[in-house]
Amino acid sequence: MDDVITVTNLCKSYAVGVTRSMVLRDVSFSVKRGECLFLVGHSGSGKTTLLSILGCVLSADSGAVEMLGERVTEFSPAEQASFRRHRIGFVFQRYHLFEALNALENVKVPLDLLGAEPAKARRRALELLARVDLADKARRRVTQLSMGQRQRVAIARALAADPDIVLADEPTASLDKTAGWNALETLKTLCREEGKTAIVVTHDDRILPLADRVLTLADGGLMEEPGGDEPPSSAPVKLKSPRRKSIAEGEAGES
Amino acid sequence: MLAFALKTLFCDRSKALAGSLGVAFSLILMSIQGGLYLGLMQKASVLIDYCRADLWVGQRFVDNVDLARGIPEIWLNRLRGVPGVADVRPYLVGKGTATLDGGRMEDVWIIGVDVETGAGGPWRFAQGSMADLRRPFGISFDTVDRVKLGEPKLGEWMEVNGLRARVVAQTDGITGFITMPYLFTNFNEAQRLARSPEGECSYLLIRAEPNCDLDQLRDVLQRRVPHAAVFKPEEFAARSQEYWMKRTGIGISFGASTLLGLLVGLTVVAQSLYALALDHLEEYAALKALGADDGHVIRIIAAQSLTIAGCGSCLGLLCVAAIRALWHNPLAPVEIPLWLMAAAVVTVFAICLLASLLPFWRIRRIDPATVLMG
Repeated sequence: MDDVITVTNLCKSYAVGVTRSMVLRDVSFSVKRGECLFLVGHSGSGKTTLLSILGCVLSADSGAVEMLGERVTEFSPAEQASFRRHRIGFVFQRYHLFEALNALENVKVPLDLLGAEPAKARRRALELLARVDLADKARRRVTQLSMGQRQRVAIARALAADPDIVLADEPTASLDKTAGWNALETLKTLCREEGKTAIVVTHDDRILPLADRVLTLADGGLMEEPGGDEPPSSAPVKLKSPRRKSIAEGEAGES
Repeated sequence: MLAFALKTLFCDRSKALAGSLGVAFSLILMSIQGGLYLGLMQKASVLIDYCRADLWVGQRFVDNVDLARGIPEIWLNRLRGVPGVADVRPYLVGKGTATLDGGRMEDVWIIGVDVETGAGGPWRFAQGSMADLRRPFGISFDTVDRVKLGEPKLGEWMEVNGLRARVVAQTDGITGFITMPYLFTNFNEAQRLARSPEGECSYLLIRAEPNCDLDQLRDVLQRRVPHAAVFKPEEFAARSQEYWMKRTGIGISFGASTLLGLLVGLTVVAQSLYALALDHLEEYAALKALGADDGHVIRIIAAQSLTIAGCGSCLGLLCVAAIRALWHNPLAPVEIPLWLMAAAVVTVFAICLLASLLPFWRIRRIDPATVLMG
């Protein structure tokens, strides 16, 4: 399998008063096509920051991200938007479904953004809703759906525009154990069937067996754990020792 | 994205309604103000508009059909023989004072028409007819001036400039810019009542031969009577209207109130769309995270603002029709031609598009990262 995402020496910091807090330090990893990668770590470990950079909604301080052969860290905002529209599907933590729209219209949104033909868009949205077992709820406003159903609508929406990569941010955060497992299983199954690469940010240990590979973020650095159906080990394997460099010392951008 | 734009708009009906009401208010103000202005301006040239003359010959410096200056009636003979001229008739616009019961007085226009052809004569009779104006001392008055003239009845006598006149006809809705009553009568009677100098008239009304080039004929007539001014009706009407517009500043007054209406509409629509955008910032952030760019956002807001414009315009046009039906009268005519309505609708649509820049500016500043980063 070829690499669809290659992250090299990625650094990101935020201003905290007069100082800067380093969130990602020289993070490097790659993801293969069709892989389902889970990013785990405690709160504030930089998971969502990393996902935001991968999702082209946040810029890195230094380092490079290459996705599908394109150096996305060098994109302009307009190019980032275009890349998101065409190549990335999102499942947000709070779903961010459009409340005024019904399930079908929500799933159609990414296709509308691409200017897809309405009939084709509708067919594709209905097909995806059927695959997440919500065909009978297509005309329901999303506010009339349960949390689990909303999450499935969000998953269908993430896949609607046929993206190469699906990014999911804490997709089980609002769901109970069963619903969370089912939602993630649905996402993984759909991604596998459609040949998508998925990156899932989570701190929900219960769903880790669904990962092909697990990366753990700690202190801004990255460690790898085995994924698949094996239970996660208690001691993560260190993939690459994070280089502890201080932004204040002006070394952040160096590889 | 149309579904997103419209459903987001109508899920908050109060804001959609407020915006539509703002548009309707703007449109009503523009149409009614414009209609009143056109109606008023039409009154400034009402004698010309209904005269049926092809060309008007008047004193060289005449600015306004009502404020006529005398010209020699004898010029009529100079013009009659000109090729292309079918007929020439004298026309008199004189001033007088009607003395009413109890000694009250009312200034009036005395209009002397050619009753044979009816040129320049009254055109809407409530009682009597043009033929009645041939009768000795016969005059007509208008329904709108009934109270001003002491509610005269047909057959009654009036005193105009100290001379006797008999009411023989009543017109309906003929009134001028300064609302002095028009008393129509035959040309000779008008000369007598207005105490006009012998051999003098106010205008000569030219009827041209069919298919005659009026521009050419006007030039020929101008050369025949170099001390007069020869006008085509539309030119003289425009000159008469311009006179009142410049002298009274009425255009500025109407323009200012119309502009105010536009500003109110712009503010209300911009405020409604902005508030709507603020209510849906998270959704716009999500939309941007999904890949929406400025073009998508502007299309969504434009669709919303145009929908508000459409709803507001429909509401406004209904109100305009109702107001016109209730309000329109000869003293305050509301003339709303199709082009004025179209212009008002186009303007409110443009205003709405302009108003959409405010929410667009706000949404443009949303960082899509907030969807993930909180």
